[in-house]
Amino acid sequence: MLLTTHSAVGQSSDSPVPLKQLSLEELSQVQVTATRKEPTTAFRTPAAINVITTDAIRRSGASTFPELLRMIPGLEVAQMDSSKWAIGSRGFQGRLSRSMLVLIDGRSVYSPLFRGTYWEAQDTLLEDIDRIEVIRGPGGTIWGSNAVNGVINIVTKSSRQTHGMLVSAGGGNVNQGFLNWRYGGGNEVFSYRVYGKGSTYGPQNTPKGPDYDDWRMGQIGFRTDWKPNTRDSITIQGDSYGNEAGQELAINSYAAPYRTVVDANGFFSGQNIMAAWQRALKSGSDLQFRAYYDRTDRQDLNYREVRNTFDLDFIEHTPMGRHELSWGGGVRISPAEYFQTVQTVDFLPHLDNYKIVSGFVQDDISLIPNKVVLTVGSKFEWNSYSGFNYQPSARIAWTPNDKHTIWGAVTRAIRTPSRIEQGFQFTALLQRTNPPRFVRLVGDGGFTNEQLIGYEMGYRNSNKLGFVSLALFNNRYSDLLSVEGRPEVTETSPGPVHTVLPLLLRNGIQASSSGGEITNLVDLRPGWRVRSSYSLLLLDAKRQAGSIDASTVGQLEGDTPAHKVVLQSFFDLPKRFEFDVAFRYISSIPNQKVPQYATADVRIGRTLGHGLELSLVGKNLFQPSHVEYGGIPNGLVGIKRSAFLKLTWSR
Amino acid sequence: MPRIRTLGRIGIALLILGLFARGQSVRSIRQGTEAEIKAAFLINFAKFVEWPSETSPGNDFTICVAGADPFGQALDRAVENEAIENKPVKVRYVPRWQNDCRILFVGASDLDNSQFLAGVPPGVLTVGEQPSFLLDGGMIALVMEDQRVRFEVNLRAANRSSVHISSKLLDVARRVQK
Repeated sequence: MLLTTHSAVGQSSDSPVPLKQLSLEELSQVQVTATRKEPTTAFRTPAAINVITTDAIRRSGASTFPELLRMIPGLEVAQMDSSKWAIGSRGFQGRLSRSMLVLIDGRSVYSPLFRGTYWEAQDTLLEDIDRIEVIRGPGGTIWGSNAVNGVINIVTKSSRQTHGMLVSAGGGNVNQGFLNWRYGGGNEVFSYRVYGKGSTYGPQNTPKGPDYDDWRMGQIGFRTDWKPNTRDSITIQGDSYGNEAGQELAINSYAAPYRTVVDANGFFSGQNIMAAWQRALKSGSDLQFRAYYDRTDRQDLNYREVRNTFDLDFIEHTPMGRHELSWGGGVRISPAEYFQTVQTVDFLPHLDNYKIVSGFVQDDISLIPNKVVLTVGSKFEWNSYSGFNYQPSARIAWTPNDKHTIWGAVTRAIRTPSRIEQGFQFTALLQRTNPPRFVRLVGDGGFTNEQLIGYEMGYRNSNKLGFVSLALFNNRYSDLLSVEGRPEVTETSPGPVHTVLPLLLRNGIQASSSGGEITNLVDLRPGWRVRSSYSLLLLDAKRQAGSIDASTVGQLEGDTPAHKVVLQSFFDLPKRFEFDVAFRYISSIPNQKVPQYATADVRIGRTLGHGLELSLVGKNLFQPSHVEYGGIPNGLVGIKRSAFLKLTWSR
Repeated sequence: MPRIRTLGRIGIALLILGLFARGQSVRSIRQGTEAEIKAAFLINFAKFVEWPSETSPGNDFTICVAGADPFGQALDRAVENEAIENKPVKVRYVPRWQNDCRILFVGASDLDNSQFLAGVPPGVLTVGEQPSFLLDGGMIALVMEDQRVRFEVNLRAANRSSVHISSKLLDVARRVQK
């Protein structure tokens, strides 16, 4: 019996008896040193996937989604100011993450206005998150358009798992104060929870001009899970939130002074409600219907949009011998109204109704049972901006035994146009001449889908020390967004007289990106886990025939760091102390004039008994402040060294 | 000299990590990974359970793992040289219940437990990982409590399925639903 030597790490050396020979009483007393769920859940998946577990969320000390994503290899995460983030997956980093889809319990939070995710508006009680799945690489076959470079799935716990009361509160120099609470209850048939949270954040370090970026947010929500019988389960959930965030923006006008930098608050709020019905059929297949309504009201300093999204979709899984067939379909209607608040920013028409109809089919074929699985499928989608598209993929995973998985995939994915490319005019001052010269970005519907063919492969190894994962990719993009200059024209209306240099949004760029990520997780000894990762990204862009774009190639190549190193240590100290360190190194972002930096977060936690836990979290500790991204008119905002104390009580 | 500063900081980080390599605490408490402990529980349960005699197909005693697999290789290792009902124990990873499963283990996943439990015939011991597993009609749920693995039993579900669970097992359970 080799069990004790096999698991030299998992077990202390002074106990020669294998665990399985202990009695039930003794087993009930064995202390758990490491929860191994994270690697094994994703072990056989033929995609570059990372899962952030409940425990990793708690021990990260993070208070927002983007902070949680910092630890994921292959994602570029940069904080722009207190409330704003620029996130990318394998490149294409930007304020709104245009090539990445984010879903909260299946509800898409991708905004079809400026194409992307307003990260600061997305939140929930972090303690109630079951897991966050991060998939780098194209995911269009299942999730549809705009999942070009990645998908982030935030999944909350069932209310059956959150019975009881939880309150956490604290504060510090940047996270100035926060209060989170949840109450849940129920029985075998029906469970529920309600929660609320509020936070206030102080400004970061603005080198030129006043500190503008303080941020306050509040959110409430609920979830109910009802199981009338063994076959059906019905979930209803909803959230409502409001935010007020300081912004700094350049406002342009045709009359003098032509351009002014304004500091003021932006307001955004939203409400959503979702119902999901899951049924296990007698045939062995299962069926799920989901419907949601999502309203967002966003009022930035230069526009306001109110959007109402209605979505209905279903999915069925059917096992048939060696095949596991999935298929589904959906309809989304998203009417929105635009309110012009600044002369030089406009969307036309002001009333717009975006529609998507989609279907997908996918088959998981066990070529050799338990060893080789081939997954083929395609999404078929129609949308009211660019019409019909299809997004097929083929993936294969070979798991010779439980120690190794080798996988590969070829995928086609699409980014569809948003309102910004359909009917948009944004005019900015170019030169204070007489008459003044302006440049105008014009989305006139001449832009169509961006395309990707992605080639991926990966290897995972699970060994007695832990877990190693390697993922490599080569992404070939075509018809990427470009800005094509047109001859300068003189405008007399609206006055006064000025000239405009139009830049039309077109599909004139192609690019190829290559790179990979390697992740290593080691349980060095009982109670000490270390996770490390390195990510590499090389992107090469060029103009397609006919394009005269002068700026996009440099932006695509220079907007994303090439190297990222993350090192995390989770350490259980005696007397119920926990000591956690997260170190990160990010190489320079030339186009944003951001130099390379390295910094670290530290968390010290202790359970006090009676359901109390106290933690002290320090963030960005290596320097008083450092810059991570540009995008603000008055220069780069420094992200401060910060700390906060947090007390959590649960019963 | 930004590069040298950065290297210095990486060095500091490594130093912080390194300090703990030496500072390991002395503990007399028995420890194991979650996977190893759960695998050991699963093998142990079999000693306290009687299956109805008419349901014993095959030459092996098969433990099936459905849902997300929490074990890695821990279960495969634990069943080496083990016998239940005088049959060698075999582990299979399955999408859902299959004919020869005598124990069905349902790993916690995003799918509802009841999807795995639907269609399981009498005479199969079902073991899950979430407290809600019992609400869904499962028999034994492994639950985490204070950094330890404990278990709860739904006796009604076991009786309904003609799986007899010994009172010795019930004595150790954290909670028994009758």
